[in-house]
Amino acid sequence: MSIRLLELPVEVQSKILLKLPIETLRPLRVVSQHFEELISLHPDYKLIRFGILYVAKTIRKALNSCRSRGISSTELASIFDAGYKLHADSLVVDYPAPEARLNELINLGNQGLITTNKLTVYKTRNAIGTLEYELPRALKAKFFMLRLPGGPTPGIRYLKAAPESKWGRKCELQFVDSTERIISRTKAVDPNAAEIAAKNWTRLEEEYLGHIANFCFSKQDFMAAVRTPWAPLHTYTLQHVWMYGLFQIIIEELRSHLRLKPQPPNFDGREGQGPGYRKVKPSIMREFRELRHLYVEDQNKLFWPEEIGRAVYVLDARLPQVRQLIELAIALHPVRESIDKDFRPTWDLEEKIRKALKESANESLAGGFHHDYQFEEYDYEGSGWVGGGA
Amino acid sequence: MAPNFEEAPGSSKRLKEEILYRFHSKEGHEFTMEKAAAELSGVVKQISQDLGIDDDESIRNMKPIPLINVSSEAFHYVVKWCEQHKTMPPWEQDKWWLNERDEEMKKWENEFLGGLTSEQLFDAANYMDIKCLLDKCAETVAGMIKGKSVEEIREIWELENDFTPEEEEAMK
Repeated sequence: MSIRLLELPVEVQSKILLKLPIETLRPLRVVSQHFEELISLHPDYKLIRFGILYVAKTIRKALNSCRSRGISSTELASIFDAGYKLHADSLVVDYPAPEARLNELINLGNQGLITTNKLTVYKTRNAIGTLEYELPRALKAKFFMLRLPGGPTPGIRYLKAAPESKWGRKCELQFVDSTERIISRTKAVDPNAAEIAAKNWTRLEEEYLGHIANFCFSKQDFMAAVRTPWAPLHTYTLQHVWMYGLFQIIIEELRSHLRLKPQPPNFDGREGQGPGYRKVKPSIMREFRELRHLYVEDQNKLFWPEEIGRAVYVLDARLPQVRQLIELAIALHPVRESIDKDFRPTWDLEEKIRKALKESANESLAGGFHHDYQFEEYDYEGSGWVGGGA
Repeated sequence: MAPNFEEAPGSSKRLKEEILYRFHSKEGHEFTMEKAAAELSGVVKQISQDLGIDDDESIRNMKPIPLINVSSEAFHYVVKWCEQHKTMPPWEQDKWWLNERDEEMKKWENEFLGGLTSEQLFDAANYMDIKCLLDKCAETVAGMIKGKSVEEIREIWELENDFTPEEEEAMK
């Protein structure tokens, strides 16, 4: 029996093609013209389904919670600037809270100069239920945004500064030009290395993941990726740049594995513009277009494409284990059952690396906010910490 | 022999007590489908949502949904499929589809799609947004060409060879 493939709806064609090995389809030019674009978008598709949306959701929560703190961006910037100047030599990622500036604000609050109508409600959730706190903005800045030296702080589980020994050598990165891309890697993994890795895969994976989890990003790392003056102080949201960097590395490796040309991140949403842009033809299935659009929208909220590119550069320089692990994982799973299944081991690994990176971020960042806040009650009238704690 | 649509499981002769959605096929035949089965279709769900139909009485009073791109023959198969799968948990990519179906159901599906002779079922599943059926159809067609040579694939998919001999040589 026969099925006239090209007469089927494009969405159906795509579904069929994705269930087949790439080698089967390459000799069929008539479908491969469509297929090439389809498959070139496929990593994004997976990325969106399993990665970006997850992270984007976290970011949205973080940003919303930031807004709910009622701190204006100018005020934040001034606090950060003050902290930055006070602790310019600090080697840890987050600065200790700029005490002077905060105390100044708290005094203003105590004197009634910050009136109660400036109080905003900050909601958080613990195991018992939703609790509401009303805090002056200055206190919010103190307790919810910035790390305090010593002592637990509500909403922040990891308070201690990363010890110097933990993050190791000082970063000596050069800033990367925004137009520069570090991809187009075509190098193959040494077959012997792959063979050795296959035999010791579990141990190797644990070792690499352990290294990633125990790694601490320095403030220079953040500055290298996101060139905002207060980047090191705003790391609790900016830490996601490493997650995006990880996804970009995986995309690069998968594309290289599939012998597709490199594709730099294109998140600006302006179709047909910018270098490395790949036009999404109308023939591409609707699902891809829509999801891709979502991807663009979410991405625009936090990072620019060049920042992702720089994050990749930083990850390659500071944590080469990430790329090595992905390269090995791809090399160790050469059997191509279908395009869908082909990527699965890589994305399984992505999940593990993301957790390790998250762990690393949590240990090294003061602003490691969590949704499962551990505190029970905070007495904001002055006596400070009451119960619970990280 | 073409199925008798008047007597078919999805025909309008079904018992009035059941909560049934009514449909009009491209040829004008009226079909009915049980609520649980019909809601496997994303289109039906969307229409119900848009029209604010949320109780059984509204479904009974609802006008037939016109399916202008779905032939009676294809819809007949769609009804069979949906009736068979109505008790399955909601479809999620790569979940129950891969793991939670029992052997009996898999066997039924293979037999059901084994005699797939028309692209109409694809069109119907796609038009009605029945993800599980679409996925299974795609799997079946992909399975048809696994292990086949390029020439055989071209024959199955009715594709022309548009490579020159030089290009073919270069690809080897």
